[in-house]
Amino acid sequence: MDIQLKRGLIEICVLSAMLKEPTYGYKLIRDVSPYMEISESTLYPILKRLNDDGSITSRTMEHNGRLRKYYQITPDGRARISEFLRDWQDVMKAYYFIEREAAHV
Amino acid sequence: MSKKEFLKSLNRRLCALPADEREKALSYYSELIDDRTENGSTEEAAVDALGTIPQIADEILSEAEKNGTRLKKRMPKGVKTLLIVLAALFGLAAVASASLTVSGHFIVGDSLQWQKLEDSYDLSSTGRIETDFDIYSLSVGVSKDEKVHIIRWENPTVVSFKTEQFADGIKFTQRTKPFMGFMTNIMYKSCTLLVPESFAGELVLSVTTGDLTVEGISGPSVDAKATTGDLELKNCSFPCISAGCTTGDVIIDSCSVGKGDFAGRSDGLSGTVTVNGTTADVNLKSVEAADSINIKVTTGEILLSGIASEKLSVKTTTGDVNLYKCECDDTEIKTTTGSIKGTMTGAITDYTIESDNTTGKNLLPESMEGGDKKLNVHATTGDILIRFEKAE
Repeated sequence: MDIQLKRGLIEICVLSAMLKEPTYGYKLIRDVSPYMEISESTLYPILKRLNDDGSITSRTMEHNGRLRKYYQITPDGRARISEFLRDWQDVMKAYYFIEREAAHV
Repeated sequence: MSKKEFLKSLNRRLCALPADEREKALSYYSELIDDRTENGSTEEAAVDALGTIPQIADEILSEAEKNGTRLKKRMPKGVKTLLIVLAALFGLAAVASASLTVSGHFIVGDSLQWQKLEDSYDLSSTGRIETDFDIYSLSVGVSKDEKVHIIRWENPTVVSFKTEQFADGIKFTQRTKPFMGFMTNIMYKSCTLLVPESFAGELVLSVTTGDLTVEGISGPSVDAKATTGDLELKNCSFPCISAGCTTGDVIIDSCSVGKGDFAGRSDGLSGTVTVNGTTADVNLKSVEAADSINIKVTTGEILLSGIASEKLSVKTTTGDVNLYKCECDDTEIKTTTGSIKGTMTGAITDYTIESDNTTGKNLLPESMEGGDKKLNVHATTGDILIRFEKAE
């Protein structure tokens, strides 16, 4: 898959995984990996980018006597998901057309 | 590879990053390893699953570069030695001509003009003193007068230092500016905080890459944190201590907690020592606590000698625990793969004992009633080699 496209998709997947509740690194990887290939080392820069552009915030809380960082989606982050869903309606139209035509060949 | 080795090695690979960025990356990976082990993976497997260290470091560094973080230049060792020699020469030249020495874009931190500054402040004896340093090492001692003194080296090209005064306290913050170059003179990274003898408030001390030493202080409660540096408390008496280290070591030597003047203070933590570490080794020597001593580390070794406390609780995953001359009414020690060795004060019949391990030697009875003191020892795969000896 095109690397830019993949990067954008992973970012939206990561954001979506935070919609229900604030979540932490290990859980993010487990939740997203069935749908997109993601590893610890790719998640780190993604979280940093999302944090820098204001899509998420983070805070550190105690868990089992140690610290764990929880990430929470911001209104800006939610807006990015909505925007993605809108944009991809067009992409999906094109996809179904391509799929249909390819099936005839 | 163990978690400790992984973090140490990753830390070295990330040395070009500013300290706070590096710290963020290390705590991210440390948390992931902990979460994997918590979900049933072994530490080795948890570390292996992360990928190779060079790959991880490259990913972090290239992303940082893209975001415009200025990386410190990495140099081969020979070049570095040469530059240090040059720096020394430049340094002499700088003193002679009293001018700045900046070679190209590369700053030789040592040859810049550093200023030793000292400020002093009045503070109520029950106030709060806070530090937050990223490169400075901090040593805390007793002031000769009734003022708080802070003594450090400053250079506007390399570090920023900020002092904030509040109604009930004072906070010192130091940050390193992003610069390309190096500093070899550790003197410039040292900071001394002197507090009045009568000070009985709160010390909240945090350093990142430097070491933290507190010596000869009597009175305030202490919350001390060092990330990659070491933490040492020596010849002190406090109402309570809380100490935390990520990869540095913790040493508490000849300290008394919640005893004498501090006995019977009403706050719930009085008389307690709490030590939390990730890969830290912990060494407690001649420590008396009125209430309890709690130590929790993941991979560090724990050495306790001459400990007296009502309660003692020690937890470590892979490190060994060594005990000598420990006098506690209620002792609980837990390790997973580490061994537990040493001596407890008194006769075996003084204790009500519970012990178990799956593999490895165990010198203690698995269950024994009758003693006034409690001793619970659990090691999963490590040995339990505890003997008893009479108090002198």
